[in-house]
Amino acid sequence: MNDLHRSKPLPVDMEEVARVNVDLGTRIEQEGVEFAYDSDGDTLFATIGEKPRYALTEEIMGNIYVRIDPGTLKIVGATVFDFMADFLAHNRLAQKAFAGFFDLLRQEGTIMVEGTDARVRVAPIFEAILKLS
Amino acid sequence: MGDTRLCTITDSCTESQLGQGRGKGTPVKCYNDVSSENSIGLDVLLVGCHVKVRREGLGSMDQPLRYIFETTDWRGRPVRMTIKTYDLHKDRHAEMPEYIQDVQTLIGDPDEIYIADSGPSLHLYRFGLGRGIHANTYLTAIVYYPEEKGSGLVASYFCRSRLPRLKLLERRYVHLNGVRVAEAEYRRRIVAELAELSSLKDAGEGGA
Repeated sequence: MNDLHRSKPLPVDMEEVARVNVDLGTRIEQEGVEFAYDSDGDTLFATIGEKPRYALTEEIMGNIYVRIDPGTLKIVGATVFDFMADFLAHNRLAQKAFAGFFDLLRQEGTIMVEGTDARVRVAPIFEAILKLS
Repeated sequence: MGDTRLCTITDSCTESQLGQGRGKGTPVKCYNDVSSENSIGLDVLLVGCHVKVRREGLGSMDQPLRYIFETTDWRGRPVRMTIKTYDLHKDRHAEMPEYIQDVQTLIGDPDEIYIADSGPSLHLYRFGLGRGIHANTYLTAIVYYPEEKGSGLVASYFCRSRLPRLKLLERRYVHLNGVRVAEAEYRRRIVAELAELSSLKDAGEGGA
């Protein structure tokens, strides 16, 4: 049966990712988070710190994905597909979290959140995403 | 997907949401799949509605969106990616430019196809196209198909280490020790191996 052995990747260990990213809140505060929205693809990007970066894009739940540096396992961003059509439309918590902010994002194209504001407002979202994994 | 209904472009829609060449008041067919209990305010509901409208209208607008590529999927349907989507991605996801040819290969000849939980999107997977830090990963494309036989729009493409937790629509190929084998051939080999094992077992029992 050895001939029928299927080639597969070595999956990213999400428990290890959670352990490695205990400093996520601090990094978000220090490096900031850039939000961008693609209306053509209905995709929301959240990018921590410098960009662009090479990463793996791993599914957390539904249309929520995190960007992980495969070398360090540090989370460098998140991407939400079907953002308006599904995520916002069916998630009351997200509607509250993005109230007002998303209208501004649509107008501006990108928004950078930095410092304490990023720590208080954005870090909990990433930490919640990590718990979902 | 909910019912389709006739809608009209309104003042609440920005040009970037509508695509180019559509004026206010233009009647358009759209999906109304946001139920009242999930509604998040009329303004957002309408905008969400129009995002779907604009996607549905791809290829039929007077002034079509500009595309970074147009290719054909494994079923012969045209699939495109807009320059806007590509630019937004590549400025954040460094690997995008490197895989722009590979993603077209993937769309035309995927290993596995999965159905999205939300909306008419398909997630296409192919193993073995990654290089460098993306070696031994799945190249993945999310393609939005507004109509069963219509054209597709690439929402994103990326590399990942796992298959999705979605419903499998079709498995076309598997990779055996680094060699890509058609699913039918893979099944044939499994049956042949099982038959061989069974005959060996029978011979062993007969000898004893």
